[in-house]
Amino acid sequence: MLENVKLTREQVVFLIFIGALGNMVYSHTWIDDATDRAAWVATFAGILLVIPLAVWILFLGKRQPGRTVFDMLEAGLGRIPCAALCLLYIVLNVGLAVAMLNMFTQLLKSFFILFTPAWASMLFMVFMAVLFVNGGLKGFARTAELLTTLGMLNYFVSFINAFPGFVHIEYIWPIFDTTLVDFIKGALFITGAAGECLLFLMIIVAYIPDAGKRYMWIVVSIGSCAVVFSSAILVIIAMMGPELAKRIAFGGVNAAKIIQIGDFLRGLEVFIFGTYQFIAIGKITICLYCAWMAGQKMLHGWKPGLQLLSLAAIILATALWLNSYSEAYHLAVLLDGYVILPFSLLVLLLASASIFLFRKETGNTK
Amino acid sequence: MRKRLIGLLTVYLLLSPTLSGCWDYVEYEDLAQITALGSDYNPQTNEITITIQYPSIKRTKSGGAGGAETGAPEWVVHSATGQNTFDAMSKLQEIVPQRLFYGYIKVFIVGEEMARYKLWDLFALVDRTPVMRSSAYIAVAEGTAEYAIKTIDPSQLSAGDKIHKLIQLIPESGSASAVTMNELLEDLAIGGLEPSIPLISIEATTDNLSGKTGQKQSGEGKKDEKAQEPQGKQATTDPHKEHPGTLRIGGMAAFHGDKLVGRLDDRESRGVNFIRGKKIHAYKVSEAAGETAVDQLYFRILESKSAIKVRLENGRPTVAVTIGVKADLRKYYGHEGADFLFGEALDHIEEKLAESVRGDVEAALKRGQGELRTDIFGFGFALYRKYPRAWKEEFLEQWRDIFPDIPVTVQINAKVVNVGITTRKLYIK
Repeated sequence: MLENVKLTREQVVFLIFIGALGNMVYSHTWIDDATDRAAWVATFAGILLVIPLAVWILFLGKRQPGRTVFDMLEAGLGRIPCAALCLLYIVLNVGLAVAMLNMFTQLLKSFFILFTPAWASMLFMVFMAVLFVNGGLKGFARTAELLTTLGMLNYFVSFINAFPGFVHIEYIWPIFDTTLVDFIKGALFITGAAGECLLFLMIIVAYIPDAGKRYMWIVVSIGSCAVVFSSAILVIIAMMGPELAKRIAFGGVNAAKIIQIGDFLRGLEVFIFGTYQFIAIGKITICLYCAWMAGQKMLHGWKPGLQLLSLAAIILATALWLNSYSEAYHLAVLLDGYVILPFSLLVLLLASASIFLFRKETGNTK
Repeated sequence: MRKRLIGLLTVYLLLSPTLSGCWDYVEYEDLAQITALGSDYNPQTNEITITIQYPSIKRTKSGGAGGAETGAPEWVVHSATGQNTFDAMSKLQEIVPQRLFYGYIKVFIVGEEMARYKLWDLFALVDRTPVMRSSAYIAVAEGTAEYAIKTIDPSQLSAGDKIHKLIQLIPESGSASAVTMNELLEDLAIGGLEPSIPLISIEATTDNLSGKTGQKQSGEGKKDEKAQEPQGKQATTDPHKEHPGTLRIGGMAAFHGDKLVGRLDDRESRGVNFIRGKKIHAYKVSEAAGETAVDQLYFRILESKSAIKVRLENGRPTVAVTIGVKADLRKYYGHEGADFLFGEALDHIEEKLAESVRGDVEAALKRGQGELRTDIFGFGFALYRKYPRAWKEEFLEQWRDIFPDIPVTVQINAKVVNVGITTRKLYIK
């Protein structure tokens, strides 16, 4: 059931920021064949394209304040269509969490804890997510502020050392060496990937006070995400060239491994690892929270604790069953490239129609 | 309250196995921290030999880890041969009583045959193995990598450490350029740019080498015909045993794709570095006009940079290389020449410096473009950057055929920024 909380500007900005980053931090390389050197520009444009959809959700929130998008759907379309969409929404969130959990666990296993079994890392991550979700949205939002700040600090500490020795202008100039069609394809994929934040926004719109007046919160959040993430890709391309950058499995961690300071500091991947860890814990928590809220909507708040544990167990079991970086990468590509955006558009269209129907039924013409 | 306690206890019990981190725990002295890895290929047997070098670490009486005991060697060298790189590495683990740890490799050394036929076997491994750092340097050894790593150098450093230090000091000689494994991968992946890797040679320094005392076993000036003699320099000594010698880095191994195609001597290598705008702080000597070389000028290069501009003229690429060199004057004419160095005298000095640099650049072009026909200069990459579409559509596939015939013009802008710590020449009474 909905908590009685109101999120602050900073909390919304940081939550949406983490929500947008998500699986994109691994799956962004999917567009590199098409976009080549312009990958970072396509990423920047692709993330910004999420803003209109996010604003659309706030607009719906303005119409029906204090309600999630699924509350709106239920009010207009009835229980069964809403339950069907909730079920799809849960599957999507579980899929995203499973992909993130696997990719992060394999990052850990590749670079840091080779012999630690995957279940141990996954169990730890899922437990952390359960604790955060169980602690309530407000508490998680405050943690997200802290984690995002630390993550960004780590990111800058690492990549600042790439300048100027490891950055090659000739790898990024000229910027465009691709066709417009390929560029648009790449940008749209990233829109889908960053669109993961829309799934979260569909729920937390209920906790944004005066949602109709808070468009700039979303613009700032998604805009920051676009700047930070596209600049990370720009630095990676500048460090290793687009040809090698498109092959990397773990984004910034791969790039930071090259950075060397003197003879003794060889590789700063541990800093970027911190950033990836915060993104992973944040994203898995968000997915679990979203799935839990949708589950409560479907089951009308029946045994929320049991639902939370069940969803966590499903995520953990599915992630352990998959237990593969490559499979998880392709799952993320499938969801980001072909599912998130169509699903979000469908839900938003139905929610808009639902509000229209609801207003018609109640005779409210405002 | 009881439920809460049970809940907390359950969480604690479930989390505790994930927090111990004991699965990956290993004692420091139980690791063989490899600092140099050599890779050789034998075309006759189709086998790969891996040679590793790691510091000897013993447990001290106090229980901690320490360096080698007095009298014991400070580093250990092992070699193993297998069907492929992994096979050889597995065999090494069968004889090394510590877990092989590849995270501290400073330098990868590749034998000539390996460089000629099987280099991909090594870089594909490094490319995918997280623990191997692609920031480690790579160098090609004349003959075999095993022979180079088993060299006992007068510097008292292990071969791997000495090669690592020499590579770091390369800008001081300019006769090669430092290449990390990651840079090699970049050169291999980027279109219109071929790799060139520093060359290691071993010079005999003692009487122990079967009458080769003082003779240079390998070194600059060797061309392809020499490169065709695998392991020639070890003919007088057992290449599998440790042996005295002086490791030297000078010259470069030129590649086409992942195949070694020939060597560049010191001068040609310096020319390549000038063209590619690599950092050079070397001493430079002008061409001598007479036999006594009294008119030779010495310079210390402070800064070098280059700009490669490509134009398409009637659909045909032409290259213009502009090289900027800044240097200090270190020696002027003994008896002749101007008293104060300014105006025309300074112009003349700068002209001599430019002439000297041009000589290196022309030697490099003659070798790389004319003889080896491999684009180690990156002209194709410059063409791609200027005309990306034309490169992809017209030149990418045929670049190897087009490259040797493209006209290249070279402009040297030499500037002597100071004339040392004296303003006037020395008059000898």
